[in-house]
Amino acid sequence: MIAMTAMVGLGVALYASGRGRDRARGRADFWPLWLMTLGALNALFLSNDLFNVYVAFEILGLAAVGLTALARSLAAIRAAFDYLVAGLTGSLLLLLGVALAYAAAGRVDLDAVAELAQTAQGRVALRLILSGLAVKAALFPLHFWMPAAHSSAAPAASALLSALVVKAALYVALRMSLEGGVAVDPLRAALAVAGSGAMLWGAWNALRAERLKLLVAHSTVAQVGLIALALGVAGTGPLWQAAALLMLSHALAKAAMFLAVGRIAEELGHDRISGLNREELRPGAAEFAFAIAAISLVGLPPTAGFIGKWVLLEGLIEDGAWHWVGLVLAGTALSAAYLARVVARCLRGGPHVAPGARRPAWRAGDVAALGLATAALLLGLASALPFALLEVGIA
Amino acid sequence: MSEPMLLVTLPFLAGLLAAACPRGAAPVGVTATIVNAGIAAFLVRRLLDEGGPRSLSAAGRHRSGSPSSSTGRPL
Repeated sequence: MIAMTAMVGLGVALYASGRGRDRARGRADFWPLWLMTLGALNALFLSNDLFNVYVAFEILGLAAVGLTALARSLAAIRAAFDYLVAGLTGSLLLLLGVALAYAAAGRVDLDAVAELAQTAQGRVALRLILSGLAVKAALFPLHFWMPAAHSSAAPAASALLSALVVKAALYVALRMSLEGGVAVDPLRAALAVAGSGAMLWGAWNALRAERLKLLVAHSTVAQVGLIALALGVAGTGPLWQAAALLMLSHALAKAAMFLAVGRIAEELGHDRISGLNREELRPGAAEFAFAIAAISLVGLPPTAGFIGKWVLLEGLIEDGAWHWVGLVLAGTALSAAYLARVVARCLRGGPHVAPGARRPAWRAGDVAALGLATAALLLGLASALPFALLEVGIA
Repeated sequence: MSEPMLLVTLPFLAGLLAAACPRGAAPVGVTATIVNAGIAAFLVRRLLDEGGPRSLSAAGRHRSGSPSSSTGRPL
């Protein structure tokens, strides 16, 4: 996760450093907030203690709200306020859970999670902690704040929020799951059902979205749902690897997608999906990056998304969990449908591209988006490396 | 100073520097991000070489059960 944060961070830093002088003020404010986010994420991924996780989440939440408001539009400030309220609600639940866990087990390190699952008070603590994490990860039906926050923020901020900040809560849920914290059946079932709901709800809203950023933001709701479903069905079993790989691939692909959308909006002056038909501007590197990221999100070979879904489906088929298999396939089909809406409009030629249409000039943002999308592709081709790292980290 | 300690302290210090000097925020931010990626790559390389259980989170592991365990663990 630290390597993933560093990789996405490099891409976003490259994008942010290449923005125009007219946004110099916003650019200056971006860096302290990004570095605060980076420090908090590193602290969270290195922590083995629920209270330290809570502290890291607090710092992360404050930086993330600042990043959301950075666009300085009324919509962004409203979304940031909603984000703040949701983040504080999640923090409150998390802190209550940690306090109860300390009362129940006398310690708060993640090793105590298995112990907590054995007592009634401990189980209440686990439910509170997981509820707090669900709010922070924007898991359905607690996702109300996320699409507005991610779609109204600046592209670099959206990429960080969607690729990294949301993953922090999912990572802690994964750690707790591996410690036996979601071994209790109602919790596992709740996680899987909420994940399924998120997949379908997010995909449905993405299909109806009229703006590109909103589509990508709703797609995050759906993808978080897929990861939560994997966590729910995995428990302490080997399917956790699928959840972890889906997290990695989603982080790379979603960061690439938001940066590509930022570049498309910069070139066209808008991000309306209906206006993506090319009259004056040919598709460029940003559209290509979007298409590669879309392939990874849908889960087509040879991307990391494909490997993650393959491991998940293989495990589910072996367990005979055909209803979950059906839901994952339905989610995949829906994600293909909503992403095809954009890719088809961007990349098709014919009457949609005027004969004299100019080609967009290359910018640092194109390199960043294309680099992250390529990384999502290469992660699938070299999937032995993330699996080796996952084994080292968790085994 | 160990890699985990650097990974946590460096971004915060660089963030403070970037906030203090808005004109130099971008170079500071880019440099800090690149250095962070280098340290992360070094840590990952070391972990792959050493292996071992829970290595990623073991760097700051503390004694559990003590009353101060919730706050006493170094980040």
